[in-house]
Amino acid sequence: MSTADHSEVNRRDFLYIATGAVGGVGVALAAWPFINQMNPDASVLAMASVEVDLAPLVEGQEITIKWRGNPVFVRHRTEPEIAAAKAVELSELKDPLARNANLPDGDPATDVNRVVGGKENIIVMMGVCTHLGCVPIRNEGDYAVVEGNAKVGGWFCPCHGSHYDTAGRIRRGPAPQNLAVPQYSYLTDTKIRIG
Amino acid sequence: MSGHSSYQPKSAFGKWFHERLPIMDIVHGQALDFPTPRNLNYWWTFGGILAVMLVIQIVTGVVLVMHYTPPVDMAFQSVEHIMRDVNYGWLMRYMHANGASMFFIAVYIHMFRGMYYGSYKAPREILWMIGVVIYLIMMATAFMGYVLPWGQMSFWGAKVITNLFSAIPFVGDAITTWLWGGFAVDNPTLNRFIHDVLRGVGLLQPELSGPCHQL
Repeated sequence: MSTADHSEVNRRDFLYIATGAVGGVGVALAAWPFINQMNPDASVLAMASVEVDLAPLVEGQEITIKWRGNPVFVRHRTEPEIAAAKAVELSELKDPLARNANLPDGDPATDVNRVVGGKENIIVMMGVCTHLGCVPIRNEGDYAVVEGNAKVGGWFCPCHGSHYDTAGRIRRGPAPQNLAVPQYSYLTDTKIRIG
Repeated sequence: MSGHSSYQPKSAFGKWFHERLPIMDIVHGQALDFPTPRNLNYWWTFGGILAVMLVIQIVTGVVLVMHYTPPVDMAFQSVEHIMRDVNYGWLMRYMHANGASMFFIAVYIHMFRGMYYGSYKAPREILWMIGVVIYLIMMATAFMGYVLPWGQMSFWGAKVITNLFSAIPFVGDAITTWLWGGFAVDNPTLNRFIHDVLRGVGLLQPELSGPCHQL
């Protein structure tokens, strides 16, 4: 059967396209379970939330907890850290968006938008650099608050030199976004649930 | 395999590709323009059906081995995990287990077709012998798959079938100990029953039968 000599669309062309379309849908449907089996399974999803007790966390202390296999920084910030973060103009920020899963996408990266419920003393962020996923070091970087000869607050990623300020916002270096704030809520005044 | 190929690439890309890698020529000669006797009936489709079954077993098997955990104290749990937690894991396992049964139904039809129509006759004796060997390997593979979930049926199935070898005079007990990797069916036995390596064997038959059909 040659296809060279007929120029107009005929019934056979329709049949070819229809057969191909039905076949394509069939292949896609059959392929889906084989692709989907690699997605997070029920046992992984069951581990999707974790509760953190904030009561033992004193001012200036930071803990790292594991949520969904990634480190999460939970920090009780000092007043100078909060003041330093508040003093920054939005125009100075490399990433002006809050990156807070608890707020609408477009919200600006003000200090209060980096936390939940206006509780600015407690900041909760993914400990995953937005550049290529290393874990930033706390109390380091050019945007930490300097007290005597110690640095307080701020994060620095040792892999490629990203500096985050005391609200976890990217200020210098290759990272494109502020450290992500995961979804979390206050169960009581001193207890949060992440996820 | 012999004779002039009738493959003529039509599209510009087809011509470009054929010039550089004439592999579509082989596909064309084996799958599309394949000289076959006109008296073949539907019983001859079972060779192709077996090829499809083999692909299904390999694909679902690769999926299962991503989620299965071999040590004896985790094997059963990981099969439960596949059935309950893994997305479509139940489908993958049932396709693999029932697919093995369907594989055997197809292979028996294939074998009886061969016997009824005399497909084993000269000059195809060696092809038939290879088929017998592949059939034995298939049974061994299926048995190993039966053991992997490490339930009661798996364990006692492994015990009884491996003990068959102990009936061999003089060396039987040594062979059984060798198969077990110990003095009872245990972790070493289970772990050597993961049958990834055997899947390649199944590819032998279609590879060989292609040229032989054309004799």
